[in-house]
Amino acid sequence: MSATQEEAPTVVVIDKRPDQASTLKTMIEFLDTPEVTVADTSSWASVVSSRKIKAVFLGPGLSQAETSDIRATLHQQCREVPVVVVGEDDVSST
Amino acid sequence: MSAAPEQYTLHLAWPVKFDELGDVLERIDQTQHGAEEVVATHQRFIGDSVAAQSIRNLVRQVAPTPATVLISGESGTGKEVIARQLHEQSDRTGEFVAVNCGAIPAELLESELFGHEKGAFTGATSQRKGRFEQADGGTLFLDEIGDMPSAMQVKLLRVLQERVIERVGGVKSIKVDVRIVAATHRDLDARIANAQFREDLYYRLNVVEIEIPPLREREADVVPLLTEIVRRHRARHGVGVKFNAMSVEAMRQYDWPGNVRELANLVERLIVSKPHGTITLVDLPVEISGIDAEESVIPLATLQAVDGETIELPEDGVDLRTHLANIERTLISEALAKSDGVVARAAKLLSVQRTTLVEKIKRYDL
Repeated sequence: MSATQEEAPTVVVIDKRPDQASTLKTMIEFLDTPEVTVADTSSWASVVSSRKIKAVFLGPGLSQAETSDIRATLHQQCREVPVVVVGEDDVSST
Repeated sequence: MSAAPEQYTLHLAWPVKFDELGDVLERIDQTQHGAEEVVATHQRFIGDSVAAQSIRNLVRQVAPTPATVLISGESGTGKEVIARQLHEQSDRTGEFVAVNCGAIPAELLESELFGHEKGAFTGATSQRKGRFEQADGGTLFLDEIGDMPSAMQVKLLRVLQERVIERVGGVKSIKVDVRIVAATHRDLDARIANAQFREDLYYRLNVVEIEIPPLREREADVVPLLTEIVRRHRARHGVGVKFNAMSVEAMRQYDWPGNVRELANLVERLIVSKPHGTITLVDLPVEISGIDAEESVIPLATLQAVDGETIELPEDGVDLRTHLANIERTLISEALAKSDGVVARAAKLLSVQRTTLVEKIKRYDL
């Protein structure tokens, strides 16, 4: 992962559902974390590779496969970044 | 932290609650502000006692092996802390997954542990992976194993023997690489004798046993635990308290039937009630301080008498010696509390010699 400029690290919320992503963003911002970036399954990779990342929240709208894929990619790219998996316990939509 | 997880993963239930989200963000902050120690220490088994040191040594020896571990100890002694340490100090890269076998209804436990296929039962609208699959490559912590229903004990035994699971409603055997750590506060020998727990499962689980003594048998751990709990509160919430010598001594002497959990809960209450203050004997619950609120009625009357007001003799009289001793004990406790445990200052408040006060403190076991 590379940061293109000196900037405050951002929390990235990745979710397919904009309403859920927005709810999470609002809640995180409310708790004094001003830098929150929302991304979906197609844009997250470019966001993560272009910004300094504080943590990645994987929203409840992601399927288990999507969550696993993103985690695996993040792990390869920037293993030190904390990942927060948000969702009902392990329920996968099939 | 040795053998740190390669990816620091946290879980948050949806819908998200503010307090849980706050905890998660705090933990992330702590990992990123040079406080990676916090991640390690929030799961550290604290204590200076011989027992605590032995347990830490045993964990260090056993963690890197694949051995199944059975942890026993009263509620609140820190069984899950030990289980997490076994995982963190191992080289297992999968997740640490905890299941409380006593908290999940028997009819749901199988699905919880092994997962289910879509349509396996009414309400199974989607496929679901169980905890064994979730912990593949990692550690599965089976808490309150002594409460596991008999039918599930048979199934768990099979998994331990064959290392494969089948989802509920499924036909496929799924291979899993899971290290099992189980824990119980129950006497499993007694449960075996009563046919409530399978002996063959017990021996499968009890490859290595770690017994955590109750806190009352680890007096030397009270102060280190107290210090650590206050430190964490200060780190997380910016609020802490101090304890004077008398209150610490009282806490050290207390039995702590709820063990470390009771100690942590008490500290939390004290911080809320007296943020940034100094906790003295009178701030502690009566069962710890030995100072009963009802007893303080007498000294208050006496203080009025000191001020020149009169007190009346009760109809049925008093035992003067005991009565005066109670008054003296309470006044000394209050003087020590007001002087933050500094005996010389308390002696001045009571207009007695320091040596006299020391003698009385010993006599009243303060």
